[in-house]
Amino acid sequence: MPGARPRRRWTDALTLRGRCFLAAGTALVASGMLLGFRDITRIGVLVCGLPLAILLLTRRQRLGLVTTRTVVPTILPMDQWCEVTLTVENPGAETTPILMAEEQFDYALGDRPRFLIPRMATGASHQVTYRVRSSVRGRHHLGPLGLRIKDPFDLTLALAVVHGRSEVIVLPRIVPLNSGSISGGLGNEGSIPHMIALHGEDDVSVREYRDGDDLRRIHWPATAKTGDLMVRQEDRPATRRVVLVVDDRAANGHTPRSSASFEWAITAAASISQLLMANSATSTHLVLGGTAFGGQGGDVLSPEVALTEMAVAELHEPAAFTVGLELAADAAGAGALCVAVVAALPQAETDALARVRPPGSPGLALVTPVGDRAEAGSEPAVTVQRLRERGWAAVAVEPGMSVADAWDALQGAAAGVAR
Amino acid sequence: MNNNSRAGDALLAWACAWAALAPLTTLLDSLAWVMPAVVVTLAAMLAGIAMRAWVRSAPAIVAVQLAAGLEAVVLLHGRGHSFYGLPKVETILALNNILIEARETMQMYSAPAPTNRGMIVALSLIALLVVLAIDLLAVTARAPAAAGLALLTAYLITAANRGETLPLHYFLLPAGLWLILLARTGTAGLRRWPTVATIAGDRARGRRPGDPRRAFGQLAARIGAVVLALAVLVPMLAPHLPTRYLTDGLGRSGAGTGGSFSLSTTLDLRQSLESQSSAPALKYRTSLANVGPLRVAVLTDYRNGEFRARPQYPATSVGDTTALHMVTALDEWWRPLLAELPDSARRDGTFTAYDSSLRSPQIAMPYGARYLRTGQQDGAVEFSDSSVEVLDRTPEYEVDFTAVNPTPQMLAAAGSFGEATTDGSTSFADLNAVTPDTLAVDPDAQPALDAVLMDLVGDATTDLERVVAIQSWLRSSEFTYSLDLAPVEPINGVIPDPLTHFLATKQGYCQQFASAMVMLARSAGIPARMAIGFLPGTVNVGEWTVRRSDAHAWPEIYFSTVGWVRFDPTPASRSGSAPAYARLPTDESSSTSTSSSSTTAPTQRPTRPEDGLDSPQLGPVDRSVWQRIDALPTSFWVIAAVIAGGLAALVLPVTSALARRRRLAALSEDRDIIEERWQDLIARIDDLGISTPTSLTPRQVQSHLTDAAVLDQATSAALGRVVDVVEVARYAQPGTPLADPSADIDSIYDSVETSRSPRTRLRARLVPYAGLRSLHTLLARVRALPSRLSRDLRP
Repeated sequence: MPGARPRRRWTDALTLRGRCFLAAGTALVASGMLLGFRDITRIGVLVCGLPLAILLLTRRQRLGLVTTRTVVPTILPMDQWCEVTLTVENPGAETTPILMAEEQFDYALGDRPRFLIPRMATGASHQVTYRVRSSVRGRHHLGPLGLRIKDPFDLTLALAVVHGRSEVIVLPRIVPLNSGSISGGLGNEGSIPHMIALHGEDDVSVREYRDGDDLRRIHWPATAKTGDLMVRQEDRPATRRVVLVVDDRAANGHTPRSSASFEWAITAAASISQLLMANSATSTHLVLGGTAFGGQGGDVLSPEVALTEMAVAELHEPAAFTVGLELAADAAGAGALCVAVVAALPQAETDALARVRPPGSPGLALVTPVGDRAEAGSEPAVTVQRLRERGWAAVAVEPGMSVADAWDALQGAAAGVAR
Repeated sequence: MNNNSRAGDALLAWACAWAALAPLTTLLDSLAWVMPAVVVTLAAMLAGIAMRAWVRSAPAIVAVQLAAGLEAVVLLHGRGHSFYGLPKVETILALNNILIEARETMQMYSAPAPTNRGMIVALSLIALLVVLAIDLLAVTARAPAAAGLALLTAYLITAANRGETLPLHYFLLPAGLWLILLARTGTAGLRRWPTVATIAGDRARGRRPGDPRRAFGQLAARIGAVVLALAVLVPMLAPHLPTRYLTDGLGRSGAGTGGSFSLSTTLDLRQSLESQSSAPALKYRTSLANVGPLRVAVLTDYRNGEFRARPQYPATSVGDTTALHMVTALDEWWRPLLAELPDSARRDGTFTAYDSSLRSPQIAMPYGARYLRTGQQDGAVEFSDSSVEVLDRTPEYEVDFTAVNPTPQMLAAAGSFGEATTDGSTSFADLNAVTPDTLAVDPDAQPALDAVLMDLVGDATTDLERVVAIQSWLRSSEFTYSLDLAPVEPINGVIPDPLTHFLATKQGYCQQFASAMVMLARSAGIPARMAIGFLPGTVNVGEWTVRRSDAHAWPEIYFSTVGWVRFDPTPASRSGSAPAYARLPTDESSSTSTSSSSTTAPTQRPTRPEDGLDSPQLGPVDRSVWQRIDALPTSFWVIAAVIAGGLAALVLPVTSALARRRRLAALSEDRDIIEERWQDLIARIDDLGISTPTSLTPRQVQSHLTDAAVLDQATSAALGRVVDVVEVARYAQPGTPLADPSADIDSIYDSVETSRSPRTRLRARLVPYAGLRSLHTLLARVRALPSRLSRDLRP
């Protein structure tokens, strides 16, 4: 039961003022009785009776409230409003006092709404609607609901929390990018998403060998069975495949990853993914946090899911990135447009990233600094150089560079590689 | 004027300050100072309101307020010395002179002081300071709790200088206003919570819940009322030591500081009377049902408006075996009289006092003392007026006494003092210390006394008739018994002497009543004197306890042939009825047959048993119901209260059990019974502190309870079975056989109960929610009864 026990000892609920009243009143009563001044005793009883009466009259055994939150929409683009309807129900046997409620959530969502909940009898419920928006992507929790119970004289104060939370996901910022040569489609120069023949099991059939067929496609079991040379026939779905690798290492060696660097990477990756996914029916693989999303089992990664994943992305141990690179290499398979948004990498990881790009496929990399300060051996320029040597189009992102500018620079670099 | 000026709070603070200053009026002889002071403080308050509207700095606000207040003082009192209303050096000098006058007044006069110009200015300044302090704290600094200190100071100025409890309204008004001020500030804190949650689902209909801020205000009012009531009642009931002052010179010096005390022989009994101290002055046992008042001293000498003790010599030393005057009086004077009296008029008894905290030389003895045994040889002295003093403090002593109760006929037969002095009663008068002092009248009060006397005793022929007429007049409803004397106001420009003042205002306590009767009797030519002592006190299983607040004063009137006879003119609310012999003025005049029968028949009884002196036959049969209730020992009340409390504690459990049984009995279908028992189980577990939302299905309840109450395996299995039965009862076809879940339900409840704390268990048993609900229903029905009846009765 999400409930709150307002207090343990009876004096716990008293504020400093309440305690002062109690102490001063007791002293006045004692001196009034000892000195024989009924006037002083009266004042003493008034002063110490006030907190005592409040404790007695407003004493509550328990406060069992239940909250439910309806969030519309639950996933929202950055800087857009969502409306939250908070319903507070009192299932307990006692009527609740007047509650001063404050919804507790990240300050990124704006000012915490404060509202009064009038007295609620058993089974009564009250609701309040507020709007939140955020310029910070991520999974933001709404709740728990913080309660203050005080009296009109400010002598007691009880704090309580009604557990139970809801969440709202704020998507990463998407920067409109120049589609440039990327979306130009087949035949155009530049780094087009590769058309590749999938080795998917679904579309395998067997037919007779014809001249010109690749010997490697001979289906030996069928050949043995029929006595004729048989080859695997593949419907060659012209799926344009993109593998998007986002570097989410928490540190590069001893240099901790700055959140600015990571947020830039997420914004860039989100913008690029939206550009690529919006323009043509590509099969996109997103590699993030040691997990590859999309592609498996024929699931097509929708732009929304990709964005949601990027919205909730967090920094991971460097080991997860290494695993992610292997998954990326698998996803790229025979051919795919590989896009990487990475921070400056150590040599081993640079090589592993370089291997993700299948031979003949284009590879694009944006390399950001790791931390706020440059550190020897981990500068983006080194990584860029190394990737270029292995056939990638790579651009080092200068601090302060916008995503759109970086993307334009990358496209220029890619054109250079293609030429 | 913006919100920041806080005019409402400022007005309230101003009223609060004045409510605390109001008791000052009792220290002065007129109200002439109030209006100027009100004007001065109003100026300061209005300046505060105006300043707060556009300045935030507290020092600036206070400075302007002070200036405004002082300017008002200058305009009111320094007219001739100002320059177009602005103060000049001369003005300040003039004000200084006025204040010097005020200082002299304060030093020279005790309360109530005259209200001269100096006092008016001084009080205006005091009021200004108090209002400024309270305005600064409560309004400008928004700390009304701290303003309480300033209020307390203002209030205590008077309380400490009066030496007696202030009338209730002087406390209630400032306290109430201060609470309002506190609550206003507290409720204003809610403004930071601007939104109010609406009733769920009702937004469309526009129904809004009651404003929580108003509900908060109502809560404040309720709490405030309770606390004010407490603050009035508790000090009345709580025992207090006698008033004492830490420093001399403030108010009156205390009556006593140690465990012992003495009645003031200059006779201001007020401190003893108002001392509600539970510390007993004296405890005693007696062989009679009631010994009547205990006399401590006899005062004859009246000077400067008060009676003083002056020993009446010759005095004789009294040992344990020495006979007191009463023995001689009985032998020599009372023998012929006693022959006429019914047997009931004379009663012999013993009086054993212990724990007496009276200081030497005072000792409290019943009337008619024959022997005093203090355990010391020559430890006491008896004076010629038959008053007794002890040499050392005597906590324990024994008295043999003979209570003689004269009849009205006897007293009437004594005739009047002036005529009877010729026959041998002169020596009787000498024996009884009838000195010229006992006829001395205060010359200051003579005119007032004569004026009253003319109306009262114009056609009376005997002393008894005169005295009874005086006593009846004093006991009539014209007079008010009050420890507070009316404020002294000049009559024809002269401050009256206390007696004239009392006769004019007709308000006072036993001292004033007794003094008035003594003086009226003396004016009528009847010897009279004042006796002080104690009322008989309260009895508990034979042990009488006299408290300090039982102190009392009464007159003794001399009748030739009978001697000194006690009367009591103090209204009945304090002293009970007057002695029987003093309440029968009509016996003689109305019917001689009554008179003769009462003198001759020994069976004649007093019309009503009043004081123990005249009620030897006082038995349980004669006592009224209330008297009998009064006489019940304290332990009876304690036991009765415990039993009543115990019964009250059982109200809720019994109501809820009865309600449950009635509901179950009303149901015939098995499924309904199971549903009822299921709901009952949930409600009872709720009492144990595990609430279950009503919206849950039985299965949800099962998982919720298993988690929340941490049920063991067996219990959760039992719960599972119960849930199954409930589901069958709810959802299966009617007529499906149902298992009886009673045993499982009981075991579930027991298991949950054992896991709770003893306090929770006790609370669940004593205050079950179901009981509260049925009580509410009952109360609602009772409340609706009048309207229902009126509806039914309407044609």
